[in-house]
Amino acid sequence: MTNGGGALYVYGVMSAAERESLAVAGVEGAEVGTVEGHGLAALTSPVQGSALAAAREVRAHWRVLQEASESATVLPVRFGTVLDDEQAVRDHLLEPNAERLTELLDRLRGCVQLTVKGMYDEQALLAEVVTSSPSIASLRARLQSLPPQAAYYDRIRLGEMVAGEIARRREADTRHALEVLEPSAQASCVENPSAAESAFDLSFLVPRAKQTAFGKRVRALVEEVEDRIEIRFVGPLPPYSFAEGNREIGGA
Amino acid sequence: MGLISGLLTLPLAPVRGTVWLAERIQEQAEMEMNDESAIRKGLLELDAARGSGEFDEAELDAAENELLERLMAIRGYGEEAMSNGGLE
Amino acid sequence: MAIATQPRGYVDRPRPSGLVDVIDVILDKGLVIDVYVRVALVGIELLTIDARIVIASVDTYLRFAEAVNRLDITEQGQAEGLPQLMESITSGGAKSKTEGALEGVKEKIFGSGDDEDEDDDGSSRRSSSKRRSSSRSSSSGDGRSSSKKRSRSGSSR
Repeated sequence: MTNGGGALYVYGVMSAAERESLAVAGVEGAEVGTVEGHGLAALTSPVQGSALAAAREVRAHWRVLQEASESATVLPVRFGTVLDDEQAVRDHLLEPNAERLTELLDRLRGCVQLTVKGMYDEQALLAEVVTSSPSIASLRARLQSLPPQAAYYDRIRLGEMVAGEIARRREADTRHALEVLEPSAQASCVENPSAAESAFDLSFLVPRAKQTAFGKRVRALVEEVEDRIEIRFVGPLPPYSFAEGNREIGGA
Repeated sequence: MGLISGLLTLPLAPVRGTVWLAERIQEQAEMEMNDESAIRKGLLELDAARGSGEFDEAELDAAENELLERLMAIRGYGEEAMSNGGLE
Repeated sequence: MAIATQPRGYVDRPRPSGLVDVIDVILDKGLVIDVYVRVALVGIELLTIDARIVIASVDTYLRFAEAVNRLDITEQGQAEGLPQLMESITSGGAKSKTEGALEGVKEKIFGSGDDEDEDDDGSSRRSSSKRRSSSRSSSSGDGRSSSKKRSRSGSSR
């Protein structure tokens, strides 16, 4: 199934052999098809591209990827990617990168990405940091007796000490979460914290058949840490974190 | 960090040049980060509200859309960025 | 400290969720097609996005200092936190906290119709939206949830 002669929005790349027709509508409500070559299939739909910076289109983009990923391994393309036409998809995406993309798909086939994010309860975390560190507690006590504008450098110092303690806890919690979850995954990936209250942000490559076993480990982790850390368990999603990063591939 | 604490010890007259510029860039990044962190918190709240079943779905969707679009704007997803050839 | 947890609908599968958990990967990750040169597989952050990593900065430290300053720590070492937090704990724990969070949504999103980011200093919202650690992951669905990921990926294995 291919699209006509105009501009094409690109969702992702999969193996041509796994291609199935998709019922879900894509960006701008268009029908989703493929452009194929070298054993690969790029998921595409015809598009104007003039008003893509809308939440509605992000949702459509995501729905298409989700739908396609239910039965196939799809390398996701960044949102908002539009190429001139079918030929451009072949010339700039499939042809110059066929080997690399095929290699990646082979490596990731049969797996999904599952993400586990932990977030601290900020108040409880700060209180625990203060009560467990005499130097922080005493500096805090000293500052409380001063007006807010005073002791500027001391306040910076206090904040720096607190930040350091949080970073230590974050490291320990990340390490522990990895220990609990890694055994059921094929690969794991540690993301940098996205917010001060982030305890950990971990992505895992998990064979489809192992999802339940992995879920049990997540449950075990939750039960262990739930009085301190709220966990969001997310997935399955396309292997965003396991398509190897930042390597240049031959262009056209 | 060393850069900023060094700046604090200088006289109060505004300091231009690369150091001043570096500070402005830092401020901008932090402002954006604050916007983003506010947006993110809003999205999490909406997500929780959705789960509660107490709010009208359509209103939640609309509110979520608005936050998403603001986030997209911060990330540079404007009209120009959407033109042929993708983002780069 | 006894923290009232929300009823758990937790099962072993991830739950379907809104875009909050996926928006980052959708916008920041995935193949990037530079039509003039090459396809880049983006797994690491670009420079501009580094700003979104938790920055060790004067501003961050001052905020931490302010936050610990506001804590009301009892003799047992428990934080009663900000006033809103105290209310919610004494009046029924998790449920009130949820209500507080939803009230926050109502006011800030639907209420005044004024969505200016500048008006939101984040602090009050922060306290009301902080949910005591009750993990969410209930699902009967196909797990169409996703996470946002940013920043460098350091892989193991």
